Amino acid sequence: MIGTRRWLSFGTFYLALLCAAAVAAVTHGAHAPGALGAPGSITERKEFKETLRFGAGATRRVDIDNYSGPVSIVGEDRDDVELTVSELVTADSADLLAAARRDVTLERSADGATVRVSACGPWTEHEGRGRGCCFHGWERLGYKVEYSISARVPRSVTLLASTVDGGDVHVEGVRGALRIENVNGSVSAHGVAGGGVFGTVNGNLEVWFAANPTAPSSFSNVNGDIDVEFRPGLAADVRLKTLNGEMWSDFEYASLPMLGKVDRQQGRFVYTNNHTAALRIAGGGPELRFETVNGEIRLRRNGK
Amino acid sequence: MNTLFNDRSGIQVFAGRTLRLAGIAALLLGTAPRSAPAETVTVPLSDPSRPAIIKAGLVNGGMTIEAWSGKEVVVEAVGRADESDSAESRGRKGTHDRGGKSKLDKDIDEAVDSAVEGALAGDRDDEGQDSRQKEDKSKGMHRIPNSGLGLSVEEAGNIVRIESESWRRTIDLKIKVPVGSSLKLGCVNDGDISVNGVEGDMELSNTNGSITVLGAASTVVANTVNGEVKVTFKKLASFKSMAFSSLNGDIDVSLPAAIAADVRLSSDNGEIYSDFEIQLAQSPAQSKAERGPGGKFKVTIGKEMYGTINGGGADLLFKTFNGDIYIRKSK
Repeated sequence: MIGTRRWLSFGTFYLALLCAAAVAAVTHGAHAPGALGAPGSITERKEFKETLRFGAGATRRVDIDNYSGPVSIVGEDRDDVELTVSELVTADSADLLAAARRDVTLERSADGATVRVSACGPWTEHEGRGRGCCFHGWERLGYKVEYSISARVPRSVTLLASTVDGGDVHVEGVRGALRIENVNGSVSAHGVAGGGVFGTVNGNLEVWFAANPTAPSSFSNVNGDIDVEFRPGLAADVRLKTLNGEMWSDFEYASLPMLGKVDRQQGRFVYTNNHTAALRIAGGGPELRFETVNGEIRLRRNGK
Repeated sequence: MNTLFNDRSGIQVFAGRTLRLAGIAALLLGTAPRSAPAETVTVPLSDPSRPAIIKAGLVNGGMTIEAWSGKEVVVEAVGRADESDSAESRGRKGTHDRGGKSKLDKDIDEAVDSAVEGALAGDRDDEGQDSRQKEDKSKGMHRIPNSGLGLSVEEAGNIVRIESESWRRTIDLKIKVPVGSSLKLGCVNDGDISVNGVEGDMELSNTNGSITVLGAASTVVANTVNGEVKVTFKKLASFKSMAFSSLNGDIDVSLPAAIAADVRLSSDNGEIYSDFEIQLAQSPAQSKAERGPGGKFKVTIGKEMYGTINGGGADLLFKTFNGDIYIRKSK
């Protein structure tokens, strides 16, 4: 019996050694041109800072649309947008690095009252730009371009900020209407006001309101929690749904009748209710929707 | 083995006792339930001049069907209040259920918990950490019941189908239907099927619960496993074959006095009572001789009794394993 155990532990030891060797081989292989792992033999890093000014227009709007890499926005007492970008390009060869430089760009523009920053590349479907419609991953391209975008913006702008991969989206102190989205990463928005759309797919969603939302707002996730902190005195109509998780509130609430949806299709009457709980907090107000699939939902009260 | 009586007085005594028992049970159980999530859908029929067919199934919960004078079908789904629906706060031990325990019991529980927690603290895995962090995050908050019933109702060509997530939680259905509707209903756990005043055909199936039909007027097939089957007819102009069966429970059926039928009766561990004069027949069909696997010769003698009421007619089956059978004349 003891002998067997000793052999087992020897086996484990050698297995670990073998694995280490395999990892080393893959890492090394990635340095050869055309390897199928993550692109990476040549690395180029660049940082730049620039100031974007709003044109004429009533509602100032900042639209930051990243693809790979984090986005961080801070609202301040200022009149323009100060952009700081850190760019990291990795490629399997000099040719592919050139292709990366040619195909992927960070477009910046001030179009009327809208300041726009968007990462454009093979995944974008801009009309007439001659770029591909079909992005099948960096591995197939043999290069990867990541932008880490930070911006200082006026407090009261309408803000759209999003990324898809490789980082979180963080917003601080912006008090206009918001649309803050991510796919593979978290979303956090602190000290916001107004309301808007907050969502991610794989990550946590955290929103702290400095003033309670006055407009309908939605908070959505798929694999992760939704944590939203409101000011005391919140009045709202709330819809909540989670499939695998629990829902919590610091606020007292009254349950509202559940609402289903009636469809009529070719003389067919179809009523469905995908188990959304409906609550009213303090006499009701703007509709706040919370929906996740695998995660908890928490409605917090600031200064509890 | 079975005895067949025509003894109305015995039935009346039995019925009276049952009613009294039911009254006491209602008093005992008649506490108000906690507020439960409910959902009501009014379903217009494609052709209100024709009868509707209602099809509904539940895994956990019961159904009450009432005939009404309206032209629509009204479906009310009520989630049965359970522990998870009570608005509670997440305390030190989260959703841990301590309900119904004395203070001493709770103190002992807490002491044991903290001792165990202390002992395990050293080798708590990441998952444990994670769930504890989650619990801490919701500490002191009100729990919002995840009250969805997943109700879906579909109507096409006067057929109304009712589905819900009764596999996830216990849901009771209260359905109002036009008088002439037909029903196809099925329940499995934790609920009875009760139908009142509906005059169409019905096929009712339960597993762990009873079936009660009052004022039936057309063909009824009612089968359960653990529970009674009670059906009263107010009229029965014409009907197809009917069956009333259970495994553990009585069968109690009131038929119009003029009904003409062929009957099959079987109660393995119970008595059979009838208001009707049943002409018993010796049927050869109940005994079976066959050569089974391995060439064994097997004779099976059926326990069913065959007979006719008022000269015979369509088939009526009354069958239970542990229970009595009552065949009454409707008044």
